[in-house]
Amino acid sequence: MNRTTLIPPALAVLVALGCSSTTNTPARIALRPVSMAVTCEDAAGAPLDLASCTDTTSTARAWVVDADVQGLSISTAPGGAHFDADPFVPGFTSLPVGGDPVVVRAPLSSDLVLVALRSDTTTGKPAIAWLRPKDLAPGLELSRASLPCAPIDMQIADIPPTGGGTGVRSILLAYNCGAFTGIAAFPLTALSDAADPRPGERRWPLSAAPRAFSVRPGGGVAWISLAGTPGDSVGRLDLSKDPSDASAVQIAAIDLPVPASSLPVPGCVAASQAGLGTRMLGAPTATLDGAFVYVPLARPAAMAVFDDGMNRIDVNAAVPDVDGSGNPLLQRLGVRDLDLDGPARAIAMFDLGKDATTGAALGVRAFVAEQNGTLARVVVTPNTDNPVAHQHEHSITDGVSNDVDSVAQMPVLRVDGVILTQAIVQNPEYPSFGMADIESDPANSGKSLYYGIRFGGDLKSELSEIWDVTYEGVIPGASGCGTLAADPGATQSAFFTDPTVDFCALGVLEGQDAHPGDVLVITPDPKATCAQAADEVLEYRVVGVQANRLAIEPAYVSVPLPPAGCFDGSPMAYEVRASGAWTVVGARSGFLHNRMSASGQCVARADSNPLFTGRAFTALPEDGGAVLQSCPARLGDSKIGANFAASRFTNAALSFNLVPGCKTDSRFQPIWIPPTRDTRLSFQATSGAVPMSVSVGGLPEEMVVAGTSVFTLDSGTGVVYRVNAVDDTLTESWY
Amino acid sequence: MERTRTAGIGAGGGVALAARAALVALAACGQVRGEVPDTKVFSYPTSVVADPAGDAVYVVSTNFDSRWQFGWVTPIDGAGDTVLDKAAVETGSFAGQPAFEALAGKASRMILPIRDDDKLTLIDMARDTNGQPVLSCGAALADGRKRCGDDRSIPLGSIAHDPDANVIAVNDPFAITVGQPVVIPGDKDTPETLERPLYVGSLLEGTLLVFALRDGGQPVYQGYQALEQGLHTLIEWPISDDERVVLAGTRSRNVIHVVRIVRKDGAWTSMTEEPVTIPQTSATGDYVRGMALSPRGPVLYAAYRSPPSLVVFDIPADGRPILRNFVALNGLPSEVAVYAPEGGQEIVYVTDYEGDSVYAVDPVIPQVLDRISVGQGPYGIAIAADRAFVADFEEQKVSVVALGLADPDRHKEIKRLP
Repeated sequence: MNRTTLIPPALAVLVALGCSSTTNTPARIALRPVSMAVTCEDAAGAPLDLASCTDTTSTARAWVVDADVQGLSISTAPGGAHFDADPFVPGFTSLPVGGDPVVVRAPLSSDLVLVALRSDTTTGKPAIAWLRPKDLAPGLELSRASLPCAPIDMQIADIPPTGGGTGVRSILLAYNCGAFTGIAAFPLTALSDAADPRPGERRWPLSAAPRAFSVRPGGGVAWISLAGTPGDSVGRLDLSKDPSDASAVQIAAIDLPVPASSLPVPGCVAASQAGLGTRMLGAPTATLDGAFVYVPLARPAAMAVFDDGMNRIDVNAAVPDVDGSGNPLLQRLGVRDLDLDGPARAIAMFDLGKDATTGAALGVRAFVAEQNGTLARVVVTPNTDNPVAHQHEHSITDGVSNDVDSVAQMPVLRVDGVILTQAIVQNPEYPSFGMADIESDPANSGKSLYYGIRFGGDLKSELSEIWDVTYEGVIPGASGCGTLAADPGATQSAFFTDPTVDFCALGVLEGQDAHPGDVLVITPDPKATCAQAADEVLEYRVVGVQANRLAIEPAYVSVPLPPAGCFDGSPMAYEVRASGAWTVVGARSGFLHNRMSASGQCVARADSNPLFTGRAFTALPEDGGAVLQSCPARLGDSKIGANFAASRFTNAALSFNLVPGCKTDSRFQPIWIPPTRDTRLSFQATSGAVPMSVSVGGLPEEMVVAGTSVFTLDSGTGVVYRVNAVDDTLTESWY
Repeated sequence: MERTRTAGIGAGGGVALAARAALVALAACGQVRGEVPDTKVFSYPTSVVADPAGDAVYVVSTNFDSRWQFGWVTPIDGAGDTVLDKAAVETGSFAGQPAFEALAGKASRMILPIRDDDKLTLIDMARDTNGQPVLSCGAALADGRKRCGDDRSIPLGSIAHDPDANVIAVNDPFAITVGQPVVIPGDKDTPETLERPLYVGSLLEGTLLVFALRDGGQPVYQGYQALEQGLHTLIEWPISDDERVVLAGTRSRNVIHVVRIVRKDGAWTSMTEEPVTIPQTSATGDYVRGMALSPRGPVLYAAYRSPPSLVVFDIPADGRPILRNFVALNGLPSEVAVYAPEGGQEIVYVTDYEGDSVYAVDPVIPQVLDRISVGQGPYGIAIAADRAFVADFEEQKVSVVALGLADPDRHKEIKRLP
């Protein structure tokens, strides 16, 4: 082709590019919203208490502070109409705040809006700026006063003077500066842009940086999220006490410290401390009666509950006289907090009031804003339908629970590092759960089997999680670095020690009954002088288990124990694997078993439960032979037995059979194939529990209750959502 | 045959595209022209990386509009904010992110993926008598220019094959990282050496290549994994000497790919795991961009675009990131750099390509502490000598931002280079 023929099209492309310029007009108005306040006013524009705000006779006003625009994006509800601070500029212009805003707050009385500024544009120093909603008009300039330090969070509350007494409306600010880390408060009445408003300021120092805080209704106590090292903590500040009173501040750690005895052997690297670190994002929030505080946790996604005495409540414990209360699985897992689907960012309390018919109190609910865009509703004060506090509220329609059956997705097989997503259909040579699709469960009318997986029906135990079923998998936690030592006087046994783990609590098993004992796989120290040092790995049978020590013997004749002294004291990498069995490990449920250690020895747990198990076995022909009825092998293969009942794995959540892979031998007989180590079947289980919640999308950041509405701000997209708090439905939303 | 190219940074660059189209047309006429690279300036810089010594940075000029004959890499003296144009080296156009291999002694080598030619270029790094960095690719040309030729290239186009011997496409290599070393014991004839895995990711197909680097030798191909198109950033998290986890961020989906790398029998093998999904709260078709590790703990930071935010992950013992939280930002978050000065809090800096700014984020509180105005189209960012160096792609400059805790100009653009 003549290359010159390309010139016209190329020029056309250039022209098109030149004409294709478009203006990027975003739908959103708030570009980087960081905080929101809500006020309410009557038809005449007079401020109304937030509790009195209604859809019909008053107007709610949302004040969203935009850190990139450095202004307030102001809108009203119902309707979402925007205030325009500069009518001469197309679109809606935010009201400038004159600095770098961090947080905006308004008192319950709706007569003031306060913005905390990290830096004031005029002075370059931290400041607060404020306005009276009744004065709102285009061109309004906010009043302002300097602060001594960049604020992190701010609240407005009626707090008692030192020693107690009638609350004084005050501004509370959280600081973390070189000169002061803590909470400071000064009376709102002193607010002035003509004089220092802080002469009556009280300052309560904190031992860690405050992240966010809230003030309990009544104003007596502030609850604070503290960012500490190595872990976060919750602070309770008694605002009636003098700052010099050391008992004014109480601290409770979110995580337990790592025991000092768990130091690794010399030469081993300490395990990652990823369990600690940032756990909280938003402010702890007290219940309306002040009896409890709800703490939003980011990881694991949960909500912790403390009582006013700083005692952590186990929300999964059974409640006396309430049948079916408590969650044994979560208790076994040591989970004391309320499990959430996503990291929690904010919490708001709402009183449902009284039943219109009976006049009975409906109780208080907590709205928990999760990072997946969900507002979950939690029972604070129980009622007939929800008899247990600090639990997700049941979702009920016309008296019927909205819970459904749990489901599982098609298992994914991994063999030798290769993922086979359709293995059950395409690869009969590999193990499966024996069913290629979802079918009605012949044993449970109205229920289904999901690729051979059957759920037990107890939704409390059926968590949404990924299950990994691995042939001769590594026992979770039973790996790391340890040392080998000879068994004095014995040539056929030795000991392996790792002081950082508890092998009993991890579920490592010695040989007992039909179980041959787990295997210890060691990567030998190549610097050692014995013959075994040249091997890539050494594998031994576990014949005895203690808290920090395993007794081992040769698993194979070809791999004898190293001679005494060869590896003594040398730190070596190791892992303990199940032997001849599959490990069944849930991402949240973990590896379930019934062992623990006491005085260094393994003992059965007092709460042993056969459903807390994590070992499954391949379902093999009952006659002990190699021949199956057919290949691909499926549930119901007559050689193995109807539904393989004898070898069915059953735990608290689900049950399945591990059906072997198969092939046709030289005589055209279907025979089973032994699985290979690390062959893994993984599947996602999704719980059928449907707790009461409303989806608002995005990153709900803050919540404000006004009348019967809960307002929340999506900091990711700038959308303001208004939720009907009574019936838990989304009323409206706007950018 | 002309093939599709994925724009390196996604947004903007309309002028660049027009100019490139014109040059493609001219090329078709057999009149390939281009100016001799002027290493005193930058050409649509995407990446800037810090020297391992922490006193200099290197800016990759992509030659995105094909105005020049080549792209080039230029060192900047970190403390002096000086463009060391004579220390620059010419490379292929459309380069990706450079990585460094530490060699015996204190020497290092730069490995640069070249999108235009689908290859890796190996660049020598040295210091002059003043201690300033100097790049080269062997002897200079007769005209004094330093250019990396084919002898410094590792072609990637036909290096990977599937089990049926079909070639695995590796177009537009962009992401790259060099892993932690493993000691290879010596014997009486050979000394102990260090071996590092090298990971390279292609934007177009999402192919991840694994190489072995042994002390300045040629990268030795080990294997590949087919991930997802749009591979932008690779991070290695070492589990042990023989086991690593590679975290691969992709622009095209809300996931972090997880690839487990194991050294066995003297070779590096790879295995793909289920990716880590970031909850889908908004959909723009543009997701993970730059990523960086905290120097203080097992935490991963990712610039994210749906919604615009910094995403913070914790990394547990198995190396699979666990989402901790989002810090909402604005615009088009692009690259991430972490500053953790002694005695000061850790701050994460995120470039906003759309807003011509850099966000300073306290990841613990978590809050945006500052928004720093820089040049147009900031993309890459690196920190050296208590300064952030920001590659202003559209303005073809590098913004220098003071970071030092005691610096009176802290969080201000103090210079725009050149």
